[in-house]
Amino acid sequence: MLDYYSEVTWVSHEGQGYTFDVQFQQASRSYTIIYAGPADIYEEIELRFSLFKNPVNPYLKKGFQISTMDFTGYLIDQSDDNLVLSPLMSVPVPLLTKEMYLQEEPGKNNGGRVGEYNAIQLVLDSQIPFEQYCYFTFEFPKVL
Amino acid sequence: MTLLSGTGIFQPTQITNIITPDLYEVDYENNVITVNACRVPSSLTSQPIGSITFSFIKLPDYITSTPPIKVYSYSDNAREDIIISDDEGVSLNADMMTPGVFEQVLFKPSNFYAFSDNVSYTLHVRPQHEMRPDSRIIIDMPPTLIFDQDRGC
Repeated sequence: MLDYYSEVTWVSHEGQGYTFDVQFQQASRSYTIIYAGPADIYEEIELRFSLFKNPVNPYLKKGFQISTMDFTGYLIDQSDDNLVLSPLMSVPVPLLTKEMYLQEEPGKNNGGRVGEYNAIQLVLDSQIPFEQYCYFTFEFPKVL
Repeated sequence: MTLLSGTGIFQPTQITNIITPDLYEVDYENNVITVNACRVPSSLTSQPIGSITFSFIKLPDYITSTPPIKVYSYSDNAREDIIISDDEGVSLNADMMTPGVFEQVLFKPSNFYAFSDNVSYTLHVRPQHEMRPDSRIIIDMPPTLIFDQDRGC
């Protein structure tokens, strides 16, 4: 997830005296990188956006577009407006916290009593957001 | 495992917390419940929290800590893209459980004469649930009753 706190590094020309300024527009979710010289660049440019937050699923993310403009704002080059990012996330995370409580059957004072039916309440706290209609699987031990 | 309810990310609608059978599946053979959660948009926050209650879970026959209930979450309907894997899970601890109760039906001496020898006591109790074949029955007698260990019971 790109946001105000992400940082941009001009990797391909780092340490060569080139200067640039970066502005992030929250509303349009676009970065403007203003190159300030000292000379024209003809080589491939590599930019690194750091402090990203990965999305919550590994689906392809579309909608990236890159444009270049001259100093007055006239368009020079523009990419396809549906560049694709493939997050390839494959490492699941654990839950932040989880707690369990036993609840007695209605009208019975049998909370936690062996061999009897109780309700089990799980309280789960996640460190990552879920998307709507996500699924949860609860694998119970054989003794329950 | 036939009645589920939930709050937060597990709350199925704004007006009820009962998770209807069309929103979950129970695999009785493997003891696994799959829940279609995250249905109320207002609960989808950056750090979501929620509770889910499974009713009619039969507790073990004796006081013991159980292996964990493991929790997994998937971002997609096909349940291929796992986003949370919690093998450590959450366990039912022995200190959360209490023993069952006996109903004392009869505890009667064979005669009622004071300081009489060779008295038989009949104890008739009814356990509240089934007993395993290897169960032991331990009876603590009050010190005023002297039990002849040589004769047994």
